[in-house]
Amino acid sequence: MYRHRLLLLVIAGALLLLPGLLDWWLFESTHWLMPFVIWGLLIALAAAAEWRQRHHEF
Amino acid sequence: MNFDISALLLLGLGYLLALFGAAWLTERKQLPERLTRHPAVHVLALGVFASAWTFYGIFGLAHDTGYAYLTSYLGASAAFLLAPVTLIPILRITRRHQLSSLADLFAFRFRSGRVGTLTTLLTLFTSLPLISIQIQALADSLPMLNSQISSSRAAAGFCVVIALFSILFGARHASLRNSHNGLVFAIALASLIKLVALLAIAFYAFWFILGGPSGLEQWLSANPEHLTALRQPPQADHWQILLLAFFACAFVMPHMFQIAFTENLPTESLYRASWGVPLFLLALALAVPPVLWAAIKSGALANPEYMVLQLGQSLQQPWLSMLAFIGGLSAASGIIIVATVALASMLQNHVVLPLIKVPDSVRFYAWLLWVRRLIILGLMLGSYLFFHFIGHRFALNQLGLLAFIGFLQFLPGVLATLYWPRASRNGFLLGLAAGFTVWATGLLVPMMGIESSLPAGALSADQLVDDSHRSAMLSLAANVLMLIIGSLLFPGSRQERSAADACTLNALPGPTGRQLKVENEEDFIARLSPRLGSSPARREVRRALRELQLPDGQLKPLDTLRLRTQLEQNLSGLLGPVEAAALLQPLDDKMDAGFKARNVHLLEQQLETYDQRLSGLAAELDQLRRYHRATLQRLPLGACTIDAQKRILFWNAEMEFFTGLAADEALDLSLSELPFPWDTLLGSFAATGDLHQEARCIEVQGGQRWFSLHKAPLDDAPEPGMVLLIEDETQHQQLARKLAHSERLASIGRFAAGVAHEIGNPVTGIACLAQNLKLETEQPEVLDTGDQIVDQTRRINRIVQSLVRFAHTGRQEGPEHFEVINLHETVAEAIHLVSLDRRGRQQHFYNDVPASLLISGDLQLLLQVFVNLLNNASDASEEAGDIRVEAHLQEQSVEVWITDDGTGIPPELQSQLFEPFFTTKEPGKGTGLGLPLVYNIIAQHYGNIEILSPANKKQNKGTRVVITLPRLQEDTIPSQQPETDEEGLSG
Repeated sequence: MYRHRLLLLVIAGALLLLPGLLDWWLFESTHWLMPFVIWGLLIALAAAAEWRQRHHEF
Repeated sequence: MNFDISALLLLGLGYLLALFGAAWLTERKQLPERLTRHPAVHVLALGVFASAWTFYGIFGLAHDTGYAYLTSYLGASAAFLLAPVTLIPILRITRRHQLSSLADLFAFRFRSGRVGTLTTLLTLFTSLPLISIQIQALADSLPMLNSQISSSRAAAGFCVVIALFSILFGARHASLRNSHNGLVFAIALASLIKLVALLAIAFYAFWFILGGPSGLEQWLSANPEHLTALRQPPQADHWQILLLAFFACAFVMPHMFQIAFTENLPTESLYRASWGVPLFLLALALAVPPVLWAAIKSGALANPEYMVLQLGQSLQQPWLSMLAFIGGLSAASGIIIVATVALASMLQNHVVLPLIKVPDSVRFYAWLLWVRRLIILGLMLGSYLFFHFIGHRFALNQLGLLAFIGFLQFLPGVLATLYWPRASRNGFLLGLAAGFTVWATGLLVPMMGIESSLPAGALSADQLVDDSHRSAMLSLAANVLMLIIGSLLFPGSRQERSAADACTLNALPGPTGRQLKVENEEDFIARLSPRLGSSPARREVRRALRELQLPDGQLKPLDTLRLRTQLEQNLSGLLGPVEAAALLQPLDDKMDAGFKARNVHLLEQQLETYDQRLSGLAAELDQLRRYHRATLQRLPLGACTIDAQKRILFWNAEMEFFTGLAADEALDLSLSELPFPWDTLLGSFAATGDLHQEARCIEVQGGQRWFSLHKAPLDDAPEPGMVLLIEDETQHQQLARKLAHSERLASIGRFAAGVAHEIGNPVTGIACLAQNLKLETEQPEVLDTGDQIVDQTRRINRIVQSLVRFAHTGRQEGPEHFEVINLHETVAEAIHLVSLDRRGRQQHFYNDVPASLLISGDLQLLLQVFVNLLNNASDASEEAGDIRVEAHLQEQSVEVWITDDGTGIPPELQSQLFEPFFTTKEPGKGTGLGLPLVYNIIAQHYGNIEILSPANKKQNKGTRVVITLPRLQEDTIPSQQPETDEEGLSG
């Protein structure tokens, strides 16, 4: 149930924000490495979430 | 710079041999399982996403569109970062229903073979450009290293080696769900090689060509246009749609689906992949800018798509070119191998098997394997021909975009499968048709030059990019729109809805609403044999039984359903979901749709294993359900629910205790199928109009039990039924009967004492007068009469004495006056006493009581018990009958059986045996006080007496008296033993 809502939220958010967000992310950065740094942070967040889930559910 | 052909050949073959070796060692289990089953191997294998297009073509894209090149990596990364809502649900469905490809998934979800076939053909059609890119990458790169090499020959040789590898390691098991550990490990190795190769090249470019961080800063300051070009947003509209295309490609492309879901790798490895694959892609993407700038700086831009290869050439660094070549080769080979294996399984299930019947004479599993191997060969040949005649005319980017936007058309179907149960087959087909039509007219046809007057492949790069974005946007919009409209206009069938429920996230899957026309495993084997052959059919049924841990032979209704579901899942892995469902379909009995009360235990069974995944209100409702269930389960009354057909739906713990029938055995049985006497007790009660029945007596395991029955109709439930409650009244009944009996005996005892006293005095007077009479006359008649009067008064005295004895038995002193008695000797003495008064009868008495058996009691009273009982037995037996006394030891008590082979006691008299003055003997021969006396004495000894007649049920004769007395506890024997010896049985 919660996951349905999460997905709907992600789709709606993506539709509204994606073009602007991608432009900011990829083309407005001050340093050429910045897109990769943001990407790396997202991965770190996902890894932390996965680690939490693994240690709390399994 | 020209490379030596033999060196290139050696390098290429060396790499492929390493791949073969890794796969072979894994299959042979020569490598430690900790390594081959490590989640990192799965993550690296998923790196197969980065094909030759990513290795070579991405540099051209970065050169042309700047940072927009990242969309391919970011799209796939998003799919993995959102794994809990996309990949994990798909993995669960494919695992549970043994689905091996996207076509299987759609065919299962939409319950249609046509859907599977169409998906297979469209996937094949869309995959051909993708495979062609890989062949082309190799065919183009080799002549750059050595101009004498013919690109078509290199491509042909490459295809042959890859086909061989796919057959050897990708078609090893008949079942498609069996994992190919060797293949996965080899693909992971290939991914590692391409990652290391690209990172090494990027490292060299960054440090040695661009001069490290400071050198790069200086160079970018001096040439700001290169940084600006990278940061320049694409001019084309809707380029962001490509992000969605790559998002879809991450799991709908056949090779990605195969590695992510079909290879049975641990589920946790897919969780690790949620960040592992994005990290892998980040590393690859990070290598692009340094290599691009290094290529610009060193002028290696003759063909931007192959700049990574040309960098080494222009710098005269042969090892750099070799590294790039090996990286490209590993990227190209990995994807072709997995894609052909995946496509072969799709084609087998959805194109070949529906058309060809399995020959009876051929071994089924071997036949399946050879079919798949032939399909792999055909696929490689087709891919090569596509490359040779069509593919080589286009740039890598053009073919890549064509394929990726084609794969995007499967995304609405996948999301509908996971999240929209109302999506129907017709909606899906309409959506797919609309999406692919727009894709073909907007992108494929112009590209192939069919409409354009320009020669094929002559579209400019900008025009193609514009076309591709527009076409992707329009095709996706048309697809989604038609899917929604089609599904609303043409809703799915009931079967489709149940499959949709099985696929939808958080919905309970299950074989609800189904009834089977089978009773045992042979019925299943008979059903499967015509299609599979008898031996494979038997093997599949046995395997399913083993997996469910069910016994062979007759199956209960619930087990037949479970076996059917398991079989369908296993066969789905072998033949595909459509074929498997069609094969087992004739076994189903048609039932109405909707809630079926008889499915409640199936639903409960599923909920038991599903609670981890419930959240929010559903979880709270489940908690409530568990609480109510536990209340019913632990109710100190037997509770069972039945449906309208009188089939048992619920059977609580107390019912199990009463009947000795476990809930698993009772569920789904009809009341009439219960063992005797429960079938009649419950069946007749359920059939009557009474809501309550008090203390019904039944015989259970040789003993009498009393049960009160209550019932209530379940009229307000979704389906009518009934709840039955059963209360054990045995103890109450026994107690009440004993109490009534004791009361009766006590009052009779008081009466007897009074009577004895009142009669005794006059009788004594009469006896005295009769004695006196003898002194007063000599007349023989009078003397004779006097003797008779004395005899009769003696008889009256005997009766009066027995009345007094009976009256006194109720007032015997307590157990403190008991002594230790040897039961064998007591019985022996009783037999001796009885034998003295046998009046010439030749009956045989057997004393089988163990010589060492001791009890506590009053010797004289017990002697009286045995004398009375043996006398009764003797009276009932024939002249030469046998009378046997045995003792059976229980844990706390001893049972003494006195068995004769006489006429027995009619059942109608048995309930009165212990009533005072009741006798079946002739008048004057019995007082009717013997057995009541025995009863009282045994009760005083804390024992119990029962009379079973007939003792010999076959011959319908004989009587057995069963006396239960407490055993003397062992710890009390030593102290009392000497007393026994002293007083013993001498008296």
